[in-house]
Amino acid sequence: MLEARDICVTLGRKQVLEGACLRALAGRMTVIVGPNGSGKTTLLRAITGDLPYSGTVTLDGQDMRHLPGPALAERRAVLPQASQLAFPFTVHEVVRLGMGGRIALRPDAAHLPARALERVGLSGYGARFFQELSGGEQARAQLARVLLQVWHPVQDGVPRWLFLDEPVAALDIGHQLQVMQLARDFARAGGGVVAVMHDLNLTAMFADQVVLMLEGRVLAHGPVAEVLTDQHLSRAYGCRLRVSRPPVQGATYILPQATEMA
Amino acid sequence: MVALTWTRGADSTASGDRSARARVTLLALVAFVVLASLASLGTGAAGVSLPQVLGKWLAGEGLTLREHVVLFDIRLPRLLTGMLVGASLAVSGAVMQGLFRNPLADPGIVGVGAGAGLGAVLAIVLGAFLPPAILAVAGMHLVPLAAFVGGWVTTLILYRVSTRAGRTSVATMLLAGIALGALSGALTGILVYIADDQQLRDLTFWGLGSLAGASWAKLAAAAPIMVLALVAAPLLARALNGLALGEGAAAHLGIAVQRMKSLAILTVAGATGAAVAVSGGIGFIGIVVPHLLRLVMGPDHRFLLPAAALLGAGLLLLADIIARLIIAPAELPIGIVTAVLGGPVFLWILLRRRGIVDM
Repeated sequence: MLEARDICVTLGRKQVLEGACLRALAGRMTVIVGPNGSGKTTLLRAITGDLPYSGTVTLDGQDMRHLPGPALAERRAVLPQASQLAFPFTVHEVVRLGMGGRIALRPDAAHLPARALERVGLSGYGARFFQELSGGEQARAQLARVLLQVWHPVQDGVPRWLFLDEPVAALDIGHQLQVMQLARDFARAGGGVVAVMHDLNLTAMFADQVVLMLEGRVLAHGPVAEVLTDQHLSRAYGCRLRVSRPPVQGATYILPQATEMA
Repeated sequence: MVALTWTRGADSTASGDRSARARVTLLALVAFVVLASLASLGTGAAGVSLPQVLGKWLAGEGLTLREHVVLFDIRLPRLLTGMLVGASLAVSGAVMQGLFRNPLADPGIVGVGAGAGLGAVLAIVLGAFLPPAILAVAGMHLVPLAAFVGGWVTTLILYRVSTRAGRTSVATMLLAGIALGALSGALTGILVYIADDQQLRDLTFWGLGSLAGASWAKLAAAAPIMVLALVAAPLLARALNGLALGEGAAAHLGIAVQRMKSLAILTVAGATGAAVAVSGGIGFIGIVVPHLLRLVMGPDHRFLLPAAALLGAGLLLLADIIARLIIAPAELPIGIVTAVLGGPVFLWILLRRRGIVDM
């Protein structure tokens, strides 16, 4: 279990997080949503150790700050929002960078980057230069690298974690669904997933737990149906939003038009 | 130059895995260094020919004193010095480019060479004023050590100035390098001004960048630092690969970023400082060698760093042979040869990839 308690982060003079709490379970997909500037990416970056914070983040009871880097890298992988790359690496070489620790010693290690690329729909892209890919393709290549880092969702009975910062922001709808499905498969196989998302409908479709943030605090936390409500969303996003449910499946979707129609 | 024209890799390159190609390149480079070494041993103003000497040696005849001196006291230390200096310059270029995440970072261009030079000149001019007890301990290691410290301090300042929140600005790095280089140059100028005649002679020959003064004693003084830096460099390979993704991503891969950065800066300073101390300012090896190698085998530092050491060593030996032959029996300072060959290549890199400077 991943638990973040009383996370405060100050960037410059502005306090971006004011005591945010989050609890995420392995085997579940936890999605952080909220308006621009609500602190969702900051919360993720505090949890992944990218930002100095006060408060505690524990992974299965161990303080993340006390886990040494290599051990932490075996337990969790992080997909950043924007990726940069110096030097002309091929896509294969970029994906291979994710392969460290024990997995690099496997006899089939040489084939794993190609398999990771296949999972994100980039089969045959290995020999291309990373910088020559489109933004969406680069994002998926980075996802393949991150997947390779935690290739088995559970290793020796210990769940591993994926932290994804807006994993579908640069993608078309087909690839959005593919990537969300990948993340959900990872969780179904026993791993933990924490993702920051903008798209409320994809969140409603794929999340097990939703964390709704507003002004550096957690406004609501729980299953989709409890968090994504008219009241919560309208307050968080500062506009009237109506949650609708198609009668057949009972799924949740959010259409801004619905308020006009009502 | 087999390695440079060899572009079609084994089957696995189709998958984007260039490691097989890198291994073949490394083998070709080993052969290149061996050939360059033989050529270097066989070339010189004294007219001692390597095949003749080898023939004599195989036939069991003794060498004349002259042949012995030329080969073992002049050419062999020069060969080893050239190899170590070339390898050090190329590797420190590759490490620095990895650290700054930019193919234009080079100790010579961004003022680290000048900083190391200042350290060396300080040691030459002011070393005599040190208490005799300290001089006795430091001895001949004083100049390389001072150059190492000079290079280290410059690299530290440069990195602090040009890196903010984990991001290195290329423009700031180049401009800060110019400022640091100018400052080191000015201080060096003051020292030259107060130097006596004997020191001036030493400084002039040293500053031109030459292997002509190579001797076993000088080699013994500088070699430990260079060897240490060359041995440390491969330890950085995985970290430098990770750093290409940015510092945050590198840390998420389990790389101890701060420690690796400190080690990289020490390596650059050690390799550059010792090389500058022993041979003066030899430019462009550090930028041209890694760039050519990235074109051939890709930027994976696990292969790039050893390959840079080999190609740097071989190229410097070639440049030294040219320096010895072109106006024989006189000798051109090798720094002039590498600048004439390297300057245009540097411009070519700039023109080809203008985008990286505008970052």
